[in-house]
Amino acid sequence: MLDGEEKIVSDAIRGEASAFGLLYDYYQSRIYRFVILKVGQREEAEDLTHQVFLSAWQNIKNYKHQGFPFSSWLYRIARNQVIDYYRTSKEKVAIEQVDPNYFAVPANMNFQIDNNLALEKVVQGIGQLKPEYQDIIILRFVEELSLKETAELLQKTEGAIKLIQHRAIKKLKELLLS
Amino acid sequence: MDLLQILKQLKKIEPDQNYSRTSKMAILGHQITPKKTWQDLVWPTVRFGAGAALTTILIILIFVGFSKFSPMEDIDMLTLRAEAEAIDIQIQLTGLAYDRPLELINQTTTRALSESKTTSKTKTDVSNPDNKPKEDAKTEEVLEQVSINQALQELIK
Repeated sequence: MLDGEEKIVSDAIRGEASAFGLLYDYYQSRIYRFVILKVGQREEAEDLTHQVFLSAWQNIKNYKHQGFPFSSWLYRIARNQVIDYYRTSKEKVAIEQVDPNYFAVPANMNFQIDNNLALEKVVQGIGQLKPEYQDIIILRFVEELSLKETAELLQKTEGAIKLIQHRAIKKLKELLLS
Repeated sequence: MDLLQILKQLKKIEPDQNYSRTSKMAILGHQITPKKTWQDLVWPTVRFGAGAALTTILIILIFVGFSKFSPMEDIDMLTLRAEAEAIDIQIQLTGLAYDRPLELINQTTTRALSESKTTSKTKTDVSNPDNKPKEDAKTEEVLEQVSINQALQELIK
């Protein structure tokens, strides 16, 4: 969570663009990762991330602090944007049926590691999961959000999150082994 | 490598910096236009209606108040007149201050009095010598009035 986030958010609600700029700088990478791991294409991810922040800036007056980081609200907008993206997608292809190459790791990802192949396989695996599992994997294991925050964001109980994350990991392992 | 460790490495995914800068500029340069809610649409109408209704009520109350609850109705005119006649009005001029010096006022007043006395005596002698005391009393009264008027005129000059 950003230092002094409540104050920054309240300044942004009052219309201070610089305050929203700080929120953008801090959260943009996270939202971008969340989106790209779900849509798999850099251009689409950039467009959707832009839409997420534009929508957040236009509707920031409706934001109400409920004890969770501002990112929870942004993730919720991002989730809805991705849902809308798949709903309005011309191709209307089920995510499970997409060619795995579609989810190849984008070239601009700044990996400094040796196991690029393993990473690519994991990204492809995430792309083949159903949206609910994708959300849990990204939020809990990539972004390392708490159970409570993830539960609030996905509007489920903490128990349900634990159960879904167990299933998601199991499914991902199956996909990687196959 | 452990799956969870690989997943953590995905945190290194970063957006292109040029894209980030352009996107930020475009978003922050965007003019925020708050959406109009139904309250925003209804509220001005309600406010105008309430204002108009209150004004009408106020006007009605003023007219009804003047016509029905007039204080003149409760007053008995005969009693009021009797009371007015019974009042003993005595106005006393306790002190008068003038701009002119007192000596000048006295001189003017005395001169005016003597002039008017002389004129009135001549007139009474010629017209009716038998009725002298009565006429004198009357002329004294007139003299008093004339002299005051003249004195005042002198003062005004």
